[in-house]
Amino acid sequence: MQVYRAFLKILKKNLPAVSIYFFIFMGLTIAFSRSGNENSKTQFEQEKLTLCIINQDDGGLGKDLKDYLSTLHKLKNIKNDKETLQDALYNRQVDYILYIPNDFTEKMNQGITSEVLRTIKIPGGTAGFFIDTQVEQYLSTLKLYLKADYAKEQAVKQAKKDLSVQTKVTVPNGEEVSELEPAFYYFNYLPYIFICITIMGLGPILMAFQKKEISDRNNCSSMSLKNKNMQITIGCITFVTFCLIIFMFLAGIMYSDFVFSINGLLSFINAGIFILIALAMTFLFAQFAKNENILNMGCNTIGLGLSFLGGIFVPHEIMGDKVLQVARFTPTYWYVIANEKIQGIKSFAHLPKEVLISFGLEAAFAISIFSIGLIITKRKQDAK
Amino acid sequence: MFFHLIKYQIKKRLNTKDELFWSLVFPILLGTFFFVSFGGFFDKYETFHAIPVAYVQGNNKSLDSKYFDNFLKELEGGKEPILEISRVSQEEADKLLKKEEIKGIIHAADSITLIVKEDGMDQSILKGILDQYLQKSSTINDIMKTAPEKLEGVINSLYEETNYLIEDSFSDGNMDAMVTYFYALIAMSCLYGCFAGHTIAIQAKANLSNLAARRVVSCTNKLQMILADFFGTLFVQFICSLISLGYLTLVLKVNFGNKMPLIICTILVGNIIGIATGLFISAVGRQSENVKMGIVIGITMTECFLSGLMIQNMRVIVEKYFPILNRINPASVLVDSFYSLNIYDTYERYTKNMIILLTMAAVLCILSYLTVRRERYASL
Repeated sequence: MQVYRAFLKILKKNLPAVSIYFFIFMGLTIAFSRSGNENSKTQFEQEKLTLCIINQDDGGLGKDLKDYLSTLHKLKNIKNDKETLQDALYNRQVDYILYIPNDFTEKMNQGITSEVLRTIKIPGGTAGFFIDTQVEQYLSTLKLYLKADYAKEQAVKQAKKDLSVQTKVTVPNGEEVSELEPAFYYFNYLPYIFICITIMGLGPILMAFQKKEISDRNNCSSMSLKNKNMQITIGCITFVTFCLIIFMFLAGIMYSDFVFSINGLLSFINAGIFILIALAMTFLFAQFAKNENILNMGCNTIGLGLSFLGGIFVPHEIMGDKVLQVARFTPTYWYVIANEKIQGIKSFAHLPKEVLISFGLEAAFAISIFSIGLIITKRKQDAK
Repeated sequence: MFFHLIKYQIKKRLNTKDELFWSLVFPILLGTFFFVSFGGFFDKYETFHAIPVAYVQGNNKSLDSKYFDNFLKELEGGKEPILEISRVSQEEADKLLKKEEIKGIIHAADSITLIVKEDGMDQSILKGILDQYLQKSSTINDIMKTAPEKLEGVINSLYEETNYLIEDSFSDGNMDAMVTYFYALIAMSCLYGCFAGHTIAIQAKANLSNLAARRVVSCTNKLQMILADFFGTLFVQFICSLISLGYLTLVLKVNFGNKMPLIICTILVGNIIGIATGLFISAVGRQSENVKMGIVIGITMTECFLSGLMIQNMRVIVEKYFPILNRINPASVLVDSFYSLNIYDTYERYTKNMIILLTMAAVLCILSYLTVRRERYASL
């Protein structure tokens, strides 16, 4: 098993470069895993946004409006300084800024209905529209009572009473508003890491055996080509199995409930098929790469490209429809689809067909990429 | 001699394919990935579009339902409709909701009910609109009971045109927060000059490369040699960053605001700081070339990470817990400069950022030169 031993020796030398990706992965998982405390709920909850209200009104109605809005949204106190407010709005620390001028009460008492308040929001934004309608509803209700000659305090009291009337909202039976488990994010980032780790870990080894001098020397030895290739294959399988075990072990420590369930088993199969795709890609790419710099370029381009396009870093819902149509031609897209569908499964009897289709397509990707690699090797040999 | 050296440095840079990949091709690729992934986020998630909804009328048609129908018609009409209503049967509406083609079902029989599948902004707006109708009815009923003589005036005032709110804005800049990723990308493209800066140092230190050993025995002044390398590299790096910027603004149509000349100036300063960083790290210390390269990559990637290349609001998080880091991290200062140019109409913050960057670059360059000058080797 000289070839296998040489394989492991080169691998050992490459481990520091591979371990960088391991730490990147841990960072990504910790940064993006959201807490899964709200697993399911059947009650509708109105959206709560963050408002900054700058109230300069001393007539009382400004404070009433502020109190009313505080029951619907979160209020945030921010220094009344243009730059600070601009930063807060841009970074979405506040969704809406409302200036209540000092003549607000006076204008309302006079029945003025035009431009009594100043707002700053993301132009054309949904959040701004939502709060606008609530502020306008409050003011128009108040105006009706003032028009009917109610005293100011009485009008505010009546308006607040009316505004407490709410539409009944129901969620259809059996529909649960569910949120994704943190383990979902863990498994979602795995393909990126698998691609990087296999290309950076196995790429240099495969390249080393393909070097002209080494390959010529090996070919004239007594060892058969079949035997040599078999040992390299066993080496590759050792590496990917080792990677898979490490990442499943980590998942087992972090999300034990999830991993030791049917969902964990299916996620393991999904990851297992994907690492074969990563292996096939490495095999194919090693045929072209001439040195480690090219390997590094390819690793970043393929890893990031497939991850962004396939929906690993960004959910499919955010991506445009045309992009998604192209994304269907990437293995990462099907991995993500399977990973999403695996989350809700409670038993094998309810296994959605999308999961099996995705598994099948991923396997097809692995086989086709590997076949292309084989054809290229054959061509190269024939050319010799 | 000086221009001759610059010319050859430029030729050498253009022939170093590896460095060109990281300075030119990689930012363009990453920009494309960013664009296809979340280029449409602002329009899809933050911009208001008419909400698709199904309207199911129950059997119990009271007089009220006529008012409610009119109320809905007003919402779906006009130049900027708020709702996109499909008037269908209950079964059809359920199907549409299940397929997520609509955001909710408005069911009007004895009372008005809203059926939704999940929480969300559109669903909350739908509820808010229906609340408006119910609340207005309650107000009219109250006034009818307590002050019936005022009712006519009140109802007339319902139809008055009102615009209580006046929309103001701080600036006409692009408020899409996702552009921060592209700012960080341009900053990264500038700072990738560090690889070329590293090469300048390797070419000037005789203990690190054969080329440098040959160069230091020549009669050319070392300051002239390093300056020529620096300007030649800066020229190529600047062109690469400009091509990346051109691709982002002209092909992908990313909106960086309307102060393009100043953005280009910022990129030039960014390139200077990028090259200076690589030059400094590789000029000081006695580590091998590979170790130095590792340190250069490590520092640059950390700077880019902290400026928001991987997580958009990273700069905000750093500002909250460790603000000084945002003032001294060149990537964050660059991102902040692009941001200030886009959002503010004053140049105070931008000027401050430029002074920080130029001072840092000057300090790094002077220190690098002091380290490299008059170096003597006992043996090589």
